[in-house]
Amino acid sequence: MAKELQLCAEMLPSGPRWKSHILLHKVATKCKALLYYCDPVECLQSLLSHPLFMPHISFVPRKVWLSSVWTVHIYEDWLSGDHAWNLQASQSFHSSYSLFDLVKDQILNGATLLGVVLSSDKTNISVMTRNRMAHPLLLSLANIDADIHSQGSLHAHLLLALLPVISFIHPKTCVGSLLADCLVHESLNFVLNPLKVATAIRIMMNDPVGNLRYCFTPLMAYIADTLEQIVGHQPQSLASVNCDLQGIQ
Amino acid sequence: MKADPDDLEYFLKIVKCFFLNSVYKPFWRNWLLSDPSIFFNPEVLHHFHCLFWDHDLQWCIVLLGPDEIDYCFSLIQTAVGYRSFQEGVSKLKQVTGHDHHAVQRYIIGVVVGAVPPKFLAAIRALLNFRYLAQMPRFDDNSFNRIEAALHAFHANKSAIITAGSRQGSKEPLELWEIPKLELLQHVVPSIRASGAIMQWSANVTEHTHVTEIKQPACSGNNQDYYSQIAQYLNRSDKCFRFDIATWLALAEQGGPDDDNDDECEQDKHEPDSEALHVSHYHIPTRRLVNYFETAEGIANGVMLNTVLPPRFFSSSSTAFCLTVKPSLWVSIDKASELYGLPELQSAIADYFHRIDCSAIDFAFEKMQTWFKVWVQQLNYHDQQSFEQPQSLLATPPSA
Repeated sequence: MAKELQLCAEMLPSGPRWKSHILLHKVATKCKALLYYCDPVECLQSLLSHPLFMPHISFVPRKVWLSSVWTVHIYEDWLSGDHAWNLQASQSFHSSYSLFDLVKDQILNGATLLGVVLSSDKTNISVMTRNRMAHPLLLSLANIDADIHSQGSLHAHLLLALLPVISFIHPKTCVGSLLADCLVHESLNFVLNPLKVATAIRIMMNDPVGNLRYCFTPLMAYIADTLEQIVGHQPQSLASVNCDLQGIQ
Repeated sequence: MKADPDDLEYFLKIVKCFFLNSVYKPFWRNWLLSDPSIFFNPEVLHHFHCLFWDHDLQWCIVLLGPDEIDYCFSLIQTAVGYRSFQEGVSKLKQVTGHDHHAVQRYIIGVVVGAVPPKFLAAIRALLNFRYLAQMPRFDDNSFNRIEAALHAFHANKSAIITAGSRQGSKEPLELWEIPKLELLQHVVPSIRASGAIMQWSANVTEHTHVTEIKQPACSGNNQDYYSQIAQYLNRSDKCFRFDIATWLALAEQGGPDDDNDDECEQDKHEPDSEALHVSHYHIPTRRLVNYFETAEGIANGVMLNTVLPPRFFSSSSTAFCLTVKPSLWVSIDKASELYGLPELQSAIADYFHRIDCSAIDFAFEKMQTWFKVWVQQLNYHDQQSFEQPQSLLATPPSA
């Protein structure tokens, strides 16, 4: 009986499956840098074709005005922001990327914008036993209505990867933290590569009602606690300059 | 200057000169259309509330002294359902986001009068900024208010240094090197680009950590956390898909044997497969009580009201609800004795005088008193919707 039930369950189309990958490093580490991850495109697809999110997913960037005379512009969720609009409309967009101009004409005609939302933050697994840390990477979709994906109980954030938290064996601790930072970026790069490819050459995905859509998947938000670690420069120096400047103004 | 990233120590030295953190291959390289200046949005939990806790509150503590501020916090009368700080705030450890919110609610009331006016203005401006930036919907007017609040802080911030309350580890600081403060000026551009910042709050992701990391980790044997979490999530995903398939099939059948199936499911599934049942994915539809509607109905005579005075009444912004039976039915003298309010009689007379009912006859014997009142207000940001009612308690000291 139990086996039959399991067979029935296995018959269903599978969702994202977990995989593992060993990151190799020149400097010795205390244990193997083992990265557990899912395919981000599969995860996006599972969010996108989630039957219960169906009424709450929208794809069209919009500009909202308070009245018909277009004087008061309202900003609410991500799709009503300027960035989503500009990406879709591919006009008057200033970007420092030189590649951008090359790509924008080809990419954006008729393709659907899927906003990738990532978040990562170290968290304690168990205080009782050896104070183990986990470094999860979560994935969500900005196209899901804000009130839905901001409700924790609805599982709109999927666990995409478990980044390795390891220590490097090196006489200098600052070199160790350098290597740890680089490792985080290296593993993020490894996990997120399918999304980068999907942004560059686009990808076919099922939308909630079963239609195929030609999608591109740029990163729209990265929710992080320790910005300094991720961003790549320490903002202290900049911070003081900017604050003082503002004070003078 | 050139440095080879493989030559670790030299590379680190060069990198430090430029205040860089040495990540030379950021993960977003080659990701088209993804701009770090856009996708790093300000984050409410860590940037706003932690900024308040680490800085604003510390300035106040230094200026007032920890004992004084703890005493003031212990005196605050809190509404039902809100955090009280009987033990003060200066020694709190492991503070949660809720505590941050609560202290922000009280801080102005606590420090007013004890700090220089400009100091107060600076604290208040930052508070205003934080509250305004959490709005769900923005227009040009609200952007102006947000920027005005930030400017007001910068105009008054010198008072904080003058008061010597920007304390370093050894001596008072005279600089404003606060990265989180710098981030505040990016709030408005970020909202214009990506919409309201509340949707990027880390509250949700922290909650997700509990369901996706901590619960799976706790259900294992504390070995090989990562692989066990992965296994757990694989299985729970399968269960979820099975649940949802059966649920959809059931919905298609029209579910004549709804009850039977429910019972079967409960038999099959252990109750510990938490949060995976399809019912958890339904959008909660908590019905919001609307005292305004009831009060209006009573006032217009649409709704039949049996008790007088009406137990529901409202002003333009606030609605009140009382129980049918008053908690006390005593004379004014008795009530003033009970509550320890010697001026109660004159206060009531004054009130009637103010609302122009001077002809009132004070010969009535007894007064109805309620210990508890439910108060409902309009949503601050959206005047069309309502907040949840709050209950206020006012029991006499002896009771």
